[in-house]
Amino acid sequence: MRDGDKYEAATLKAELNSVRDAMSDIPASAVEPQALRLDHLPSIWAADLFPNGYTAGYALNTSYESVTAGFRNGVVMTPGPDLQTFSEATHPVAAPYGTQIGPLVQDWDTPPATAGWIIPAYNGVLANACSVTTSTFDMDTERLKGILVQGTVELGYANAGSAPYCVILGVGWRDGSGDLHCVEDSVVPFTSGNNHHGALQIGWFLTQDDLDVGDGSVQEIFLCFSTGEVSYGAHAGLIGGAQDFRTTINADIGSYWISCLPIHAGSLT
Amino acid sequence: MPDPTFDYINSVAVADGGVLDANQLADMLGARTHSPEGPVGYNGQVDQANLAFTEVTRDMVRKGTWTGEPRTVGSTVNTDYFEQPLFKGINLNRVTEANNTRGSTYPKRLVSVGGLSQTVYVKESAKAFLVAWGVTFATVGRAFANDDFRPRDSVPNIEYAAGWDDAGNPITSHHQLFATRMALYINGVRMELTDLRFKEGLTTMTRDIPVGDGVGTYNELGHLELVNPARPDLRAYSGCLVVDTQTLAANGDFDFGTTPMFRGWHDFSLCVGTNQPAVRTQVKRLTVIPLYG
Repeated sequence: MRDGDKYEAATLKAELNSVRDAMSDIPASAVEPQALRLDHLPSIWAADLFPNGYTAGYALNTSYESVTAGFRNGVVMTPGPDLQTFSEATHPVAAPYGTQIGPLVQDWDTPPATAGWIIPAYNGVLANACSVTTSTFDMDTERLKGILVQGTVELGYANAGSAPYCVILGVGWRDGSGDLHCVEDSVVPFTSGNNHHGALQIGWFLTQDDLDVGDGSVQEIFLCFSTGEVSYGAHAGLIGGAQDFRTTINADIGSYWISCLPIHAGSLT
Repeated sequence: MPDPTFDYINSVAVADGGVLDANQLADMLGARTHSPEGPVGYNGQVDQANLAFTEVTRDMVRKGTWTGEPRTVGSTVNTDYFEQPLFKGINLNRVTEANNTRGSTYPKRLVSVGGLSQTVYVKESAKAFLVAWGVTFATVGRAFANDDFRPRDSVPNIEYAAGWDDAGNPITSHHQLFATRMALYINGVRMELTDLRFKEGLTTMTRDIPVGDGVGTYNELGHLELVNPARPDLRAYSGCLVVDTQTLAANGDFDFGTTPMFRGWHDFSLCVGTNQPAVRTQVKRLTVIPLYG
């Protein structure tokens, strides 16, 4: 229709029919061999799920930062509720982010109130957190088989104390309700002694089965960090025992990062 | 099957020459009969059943739309580097901020490890790269025939390397002296996140059995075995990184504009630097997978 034409049913129908025909009648040439290209496929690159990128971390190449964190000794050997404990200390930023959670406590008999996982965040800045924030989603709806999560922490120094220490890493997520979870099967203790220096790497393929432990969705994926102590010497045999707490051991860490890669695999129907 | 047929009801309700009222117009414009509701509903869901007049086979769609060809390079041979320390006397454990800056000296002094470098052709602008690597290596000292490189605590014939401990104090013994750094470089630019430090330790491989509660009495000569080429201190550097545009932008002065993962050749390499006489790399691999999607 042009300016000045009569606005009638016939002309209107003609316009609408042309639209209908264009959409309904796909020409055969459009689907000839090699006619379909990447452009015709819906993108399976889940950029909308990771609006802030797939990798997060902090490059600390010129110094180390002392991390004070702790866990009850036995938790690594006997997974249980403790592995779902995140530090509630709010120092220096909102728990459990940061690198210095609570004071250094060395008490064999009393678990500290600040015990639990922390999420490394250099200098207490949330933007430095070893954490990838996502939109809130679940794997099934997004047709994801899972998310490949890989993380590395550079350990410069673990407290040269009186017994061998370990640094404990795990993969965790925050569900859509805001609750924090740790994938217990992902937890790896690194028995560092008192002088292990270098790269500590862990990984996990996060699936819907993991998310179902929470509310079924995810909005953040992060590395869990804590320290512990291998029961040793005079305290041998007390692992997991009521009197075997040795917490808030400090360690120096340098750079760290976490990378997430959403994986579409198998049937996409 | 999603039905993308773009039809409307009451399509013949108004005869040519008739009077078109508002309700009829609204029906014609607004009452689509397709499912799921709205074009958005079937976006990406149109399948074979929608194309009844032909058959779509796999060869009609360009292959490799999700990933490029994954490629791993590596070797299982021992390779030694640095007959003379490249960073002799430099504390690689704590490089200065000035040296850490892009464009400064230090990042350019690491050298690529043979067998841990590959060039990948990206056939179109990639969404990201998945880079995974692992290398076992050992830093080894070297015994000298004279005292030219005698360490501070006068242990004879062991290469001296300056350093500071984690509290920033000058090291007065050979404990924690030695530093090796490894980092992933992409197109010649250091990925700062991956630049990690490896110092010698007392507790790996050749540490003597500690006494009592794990404290104290070490065999001083025992851990000197760490700097014995015959008994090196074995370390592992492994990592996996999803490198997207944001990661690249945060790591270097790329001259590639806003699309650093452009179509063309890209270089990936693991680089090493040490203040020790030798770094011996052993089992090693580097995998690069371009991701499109």
